[in-house]
Amino acid sequence: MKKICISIILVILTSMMSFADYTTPYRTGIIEGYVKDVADNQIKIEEYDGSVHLLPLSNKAVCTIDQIPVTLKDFKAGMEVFGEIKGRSVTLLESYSTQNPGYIPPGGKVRSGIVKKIDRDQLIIKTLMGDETYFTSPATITLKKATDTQLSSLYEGDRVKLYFDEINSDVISRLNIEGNSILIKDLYRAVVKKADNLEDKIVFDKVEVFKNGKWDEINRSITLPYSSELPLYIGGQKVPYENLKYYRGKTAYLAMKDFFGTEKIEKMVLKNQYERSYSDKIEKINWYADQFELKNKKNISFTEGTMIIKNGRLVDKDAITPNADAFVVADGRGTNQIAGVISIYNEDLNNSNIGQNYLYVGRMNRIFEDAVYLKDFYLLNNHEWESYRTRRESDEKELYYDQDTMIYDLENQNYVSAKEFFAKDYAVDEDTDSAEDKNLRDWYAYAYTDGDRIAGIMVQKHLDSLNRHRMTTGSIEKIEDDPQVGWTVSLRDSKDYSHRHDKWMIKNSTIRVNLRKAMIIKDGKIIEPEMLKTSDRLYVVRDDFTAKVVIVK
Amino acid sequence: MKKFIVSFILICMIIAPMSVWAQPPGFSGGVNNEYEYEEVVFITGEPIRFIGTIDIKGNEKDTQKTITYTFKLKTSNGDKLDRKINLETIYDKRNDKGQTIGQTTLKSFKESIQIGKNKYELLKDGGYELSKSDIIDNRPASDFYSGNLKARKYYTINKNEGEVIVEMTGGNVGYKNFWGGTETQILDYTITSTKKVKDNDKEEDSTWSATVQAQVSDSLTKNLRYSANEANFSSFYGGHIRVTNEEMVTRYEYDLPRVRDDKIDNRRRNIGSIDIKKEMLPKVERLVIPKFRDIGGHWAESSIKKLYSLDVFDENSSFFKPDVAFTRGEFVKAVMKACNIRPSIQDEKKSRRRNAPKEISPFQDISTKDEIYPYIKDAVDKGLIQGISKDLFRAKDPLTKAEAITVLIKALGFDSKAPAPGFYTSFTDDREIPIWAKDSIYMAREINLVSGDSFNRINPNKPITRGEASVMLVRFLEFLQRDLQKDYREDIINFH
Repeated sequence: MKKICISIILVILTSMMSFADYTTPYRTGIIEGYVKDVADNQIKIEEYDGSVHLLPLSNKAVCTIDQIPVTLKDFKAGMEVFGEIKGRSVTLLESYSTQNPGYIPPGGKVRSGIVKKIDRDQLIIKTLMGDETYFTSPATITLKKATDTQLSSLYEGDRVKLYFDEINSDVISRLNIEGNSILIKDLYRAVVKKADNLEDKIVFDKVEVFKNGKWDEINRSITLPYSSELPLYIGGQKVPYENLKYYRGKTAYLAMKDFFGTEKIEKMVLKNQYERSYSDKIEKINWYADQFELKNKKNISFTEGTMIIKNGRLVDKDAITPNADAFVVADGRGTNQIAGVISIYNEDLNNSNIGQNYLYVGRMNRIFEDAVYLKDFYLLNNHEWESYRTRRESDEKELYYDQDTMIYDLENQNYVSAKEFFAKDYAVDEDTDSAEDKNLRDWYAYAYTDGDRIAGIMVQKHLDSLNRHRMTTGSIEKIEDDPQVGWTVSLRDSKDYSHRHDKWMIKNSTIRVNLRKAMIIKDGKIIEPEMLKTSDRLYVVRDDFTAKVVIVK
Repeated sequence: MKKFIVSFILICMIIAPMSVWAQPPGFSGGVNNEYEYEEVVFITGEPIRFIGTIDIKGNEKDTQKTITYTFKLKTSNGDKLDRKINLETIYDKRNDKGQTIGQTTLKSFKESIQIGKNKYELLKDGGYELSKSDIIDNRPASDFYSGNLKARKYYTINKNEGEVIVEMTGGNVGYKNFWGGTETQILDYTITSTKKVKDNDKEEDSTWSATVQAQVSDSLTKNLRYSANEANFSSFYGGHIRVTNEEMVTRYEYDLPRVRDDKIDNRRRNIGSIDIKKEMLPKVERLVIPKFRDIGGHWAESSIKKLYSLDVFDENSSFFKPDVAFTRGEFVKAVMKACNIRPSIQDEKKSRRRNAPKEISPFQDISTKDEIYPYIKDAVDKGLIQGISKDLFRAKDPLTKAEAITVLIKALGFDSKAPAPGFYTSFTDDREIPIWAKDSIYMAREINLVSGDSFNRINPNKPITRGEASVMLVRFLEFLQRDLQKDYREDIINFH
């Protein structure tokens, strides 16, 4: 009996003991608590209930902090850990340390590429990995060549670097635009003489430059380096650069860029058959067949290999738009023609639909401390002064100015502060006796605005004959301070806008324009003529030789 | 005698000639090629181009580098510039962190410039003070460095007719690896000049100030070029050539006073820029010709051929088997060979002493006698890859895409730039990415090394074939050759 009792008691005792052991990590296979100490391949963990365990690490143990693989040494006393145990050793050890998961420093995510499309706050960028869409916000900082600029100065075809503050953000925090090094300086036509693919150089013969609407011979023979980044095409087909030697004697069209004081071929297209060139308006585009129709009813195809230049930049074929004025070099025979080069030359005050820049001219009827009211004003619309003259007294255009507005008095050849502009007699009540006595009249102004805010304004006593004004674009070939007439620029590749033809007409020679009476605007500010540089692209409102408004594009 | 020879060889090894690496000479923004050096001097208030010769002498020891630049320059008008500067750099190697700190000081200097009738000379005591410090992050596939510089030059004009003080502030960034190196310096100069001039028999001080920014870059790249065989009756179609190109470019952007009829008008400005480029003659090296029978027309053919030419694949079989899975061991070896990361164990073997302890493999499944052992040992030591457990490497296991990407990104040391843990990558199969590969896959996407498939999946756990691995490796080499150069040169100078 005794024996039976003892054995029953023993059985009960052992079963009780095993119940007590049920929650130990060795049974559950899980341990949670604080790290007390880390020794060589062993970790001492204090469980939340206060029991302390010294555990060895198994050979296959995985240690992580914030899911990043670490070694045992990375666990510090006091850290909360979770572990899995197999046998009597730890197979998994996890802990947490990061305060801000997914944090990157501001500007830590960078994308770089070519702007393919601009639509207000939406930019499509062509990167190495394909097209990506990002957004700008009012807080986006825009820099061009590391200097503050407006987002509206961005063009399709510009190379940009975009910086983001968060890894999943599509909103650009900083946008860096490449400087003038992006510009295609010249378009050459030349015959391939010799290709050296060890040094990425080609010797050309019979080199001609496209200048003032025609090909001008510049050099018999010239060696030019090329960038092998953009592929080479012939008749729409890709050609590996190492095969270039088989095209000796072929004519090539070259888009030239400046590379640290030397010329470099940015893109090259080889002529396959026979050349025909057109300078006309693109009427319709058939995206399905990759063809466009010119106003003269010629149908021309374009391919991936077509060199398309717009605003002095190489652009993608999506940048071709209906109603664009283009110089097209077509390659083919009969009606089957492929565009080798398309140079789109229409120019506008605004580079894209981001810009809200306008040019007004009118009588300054009233000037308040922060606003000026233009009466009988004209607005530059589609390269023409559009009149807003009415009989109604209330028909005025209210434009705002501030202390950052640059005000230039053309009569006195000086800048005027905002206070002086308000205080002086630039706008008077012409009917009063004092005005009549002093023979005072309202002055006239050319105002370059950003929306309704005047960025730069030039004031003069009398209104110019606006009918004589012509809108001209071109790039500076030479700028000089002429001792006879003052600062004068020579413009090459200039075009005048013809209203009758509704298109830009290419001029066949370099024209000279005098800047003595001009308001010159660059990046929304009035600048001095000496700040202009050769190869700057200009939009000029001129009366023959005399420029009135010059906008540096 | 033996001891003498050994010590002589040792000395020769220590005082090895300075390794060629891209670095613009001096801190004047000038550039050179083999026979000519050119820089622009603004000390008179006008940009003046000087052309002449540069002599660079120096030696590099383990923790010290000295370099002497001697310039002898002239203009077409007969103006002269003579300059000699001696710089010493002391390196503090932090091997535990894989970083090196370089501290550069000016040991001696001498400069005199004769322009027209005026002679500008650096003051003998304190005429040139310079402090420069660089941090070099030594990563397995490439070194990345960045430094800052502060200097001041004090010139006298005709001994006592005035002074020109040139303050210099700048920085440099660069990288150096087997496939190339670029260093770009951005140096800002502030020039203040005071000169006594006679005006109506009265002596007056003419003062002007100017700012100049010089952005100068020296870049060396190695590229692979294919050259077809011109002869028909030959045993091969063509082969690859490794071409080493080096060029220096500089852009000076200046804001100077306007000079008219030799009179300086400090209120009106002359703003402009000058670009100069100099190229070295390219160096060409022919490489072995691949003769595999099974890669013709394969989509990875050109990549496989390039890598074979570079001895990255050294098998002698006629069959490459491009669609067979690549193994972990083969990939480690391929990466180390492609980046010319020489296993340190090979160096050790040569200098191993007889009583040194016997090498023990950290992995049970790889013997120290295995041909692949040195590569794996070094890759593990450098943190490029880990065993699948503490004592097993599984060199013959198929390599997954996640493993391949991780090795490449760790070789660049870019994994440390990944976001703080707890992020998602942009790939749709992000949850499939093993935890150890997440940082690397994120960074590989950031540097355009990999992209998703048509469903934007990265397929991290898919075994990678030999063809796919070859294409990835060639893209990695392109990154080392071209992408880095563009980021360190064009993207800095054209955006700055």
